[in-house]
Amino acid sequence: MRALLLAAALIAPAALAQEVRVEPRLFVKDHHYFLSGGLTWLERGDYYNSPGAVFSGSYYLRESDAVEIRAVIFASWLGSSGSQVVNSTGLVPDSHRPVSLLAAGWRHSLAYGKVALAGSILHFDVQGGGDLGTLLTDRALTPAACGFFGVVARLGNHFYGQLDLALVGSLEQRSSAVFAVGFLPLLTLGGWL
Amino acid sequence: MRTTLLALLLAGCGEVHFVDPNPPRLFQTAVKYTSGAVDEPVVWIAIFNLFFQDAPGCAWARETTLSSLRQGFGVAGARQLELAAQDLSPDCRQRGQKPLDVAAVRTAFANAKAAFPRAHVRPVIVYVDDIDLMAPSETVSAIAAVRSQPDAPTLLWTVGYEPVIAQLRSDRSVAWGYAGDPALKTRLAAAVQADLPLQTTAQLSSGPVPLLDGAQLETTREFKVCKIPDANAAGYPVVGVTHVLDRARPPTVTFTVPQWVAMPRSLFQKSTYSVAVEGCTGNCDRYFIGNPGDDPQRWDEANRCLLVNG
Repeated sequence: MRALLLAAALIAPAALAQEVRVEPRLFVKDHHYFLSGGLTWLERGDYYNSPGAVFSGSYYLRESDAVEIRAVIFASWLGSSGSQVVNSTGLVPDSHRPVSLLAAGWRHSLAYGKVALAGSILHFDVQGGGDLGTLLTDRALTPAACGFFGVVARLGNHFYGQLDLALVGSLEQRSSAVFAVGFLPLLTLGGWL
Repeated sequence: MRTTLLALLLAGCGEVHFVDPNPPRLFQTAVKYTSGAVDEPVVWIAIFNLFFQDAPGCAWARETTLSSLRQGFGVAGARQLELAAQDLSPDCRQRGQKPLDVAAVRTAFANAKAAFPRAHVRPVIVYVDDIDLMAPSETVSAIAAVRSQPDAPTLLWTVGYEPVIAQLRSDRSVAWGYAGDPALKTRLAAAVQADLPLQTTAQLSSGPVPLLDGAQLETTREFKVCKIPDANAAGYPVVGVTHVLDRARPPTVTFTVPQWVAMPRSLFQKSTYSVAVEGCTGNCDRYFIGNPGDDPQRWDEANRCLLVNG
């Protein structure tokens, strides 16, 4: 018992001397504009290969909510399996060739976190949201909607990266009217003001 | 439930089908032909077998009834010939008092035929009997004798009561009311309108009926006859096969029309035929796809109509 009290007496001053430090949030978004550009690929099983360039802009009304606008320009071409059918029979798929996507919506931060990565600390937000807009195809302007889930990470002072995994749906008149759903991963880099 | 709905949604989403950007330009048309009919002259004879208690009124009853018959037959509107009536009870005291003059009736029929040499004369015998009892057998036999001549088919109409109508097996019957019944002519007129004038098939052959009209001949490149139109049809291109249109010899079909001679209008039937034709005005060798997902078929290689038969 005596030994225990002695040990406590020796340790207690050291423990009292250690500071508890909470790092302030580095990746602050509230009332900031976020602008970025990057690459994407629309995959919707329509026989077209559809890579694209994406431009995205967001304004955070508060730390966890933002309004955003996205513009995607696709460079679509008929894939090899579709081309084979076209060349051998002259038949073409009734799906439309995506040309561009313009959408606006809302994004919401679900969680804030940081991770030690290669000797540095990466601050990031896990976000989700939805957009409404239009998918312009080679034949029509079609109504479109998308929902996404992604990560926004601080890469430096006023420099960030964003990865969104989106599902895009559009109402398309093919042989009959269909609601075409596609997968649209978007990777962008940009800065905030 | 949610899982099922989601699965259905994903399965139904975004189906892609291959289509022909230059599909065959097709049309379908139905060529119809209806046989015609000609009106035959109305030839009729009245045979009276009246009983009237008031002997002085006999002539009045007979004339009044004859007048009603004339007015009734008047609505037929065609060429008419009324033959001299026969009276089997001249003083209205006893039915069948006087036998029917079969020879005179036959002569009258023959004269009527001569009067309308190009027509199919089928006289109408109007037997008028006002007794609610079966007619005398002699009368029945005599009427049967008049009708039995195969070269002079007749129709028998009876104005009388049910026992007589049933006994004579008339072609048409008109109910008797009473002597001087003003409604008799109305009832008779209804029968006349239903059956007269008698109808005969105008032509036994349709002649060549064009399968494509003038405008279609200008634009059609190839065509198919979709179904065998009728057992009575002839001279049409092979069914189901693609034919290249020869504008110098447009496709036709000829129908043989069953003959109806001097038939009551209520029994006469016009013959109507229809032939379905599928024509192609362009891209005839390209793919036809009926419904999304159906197998594409080259129109000119499919041995059947695709629009009509699916």
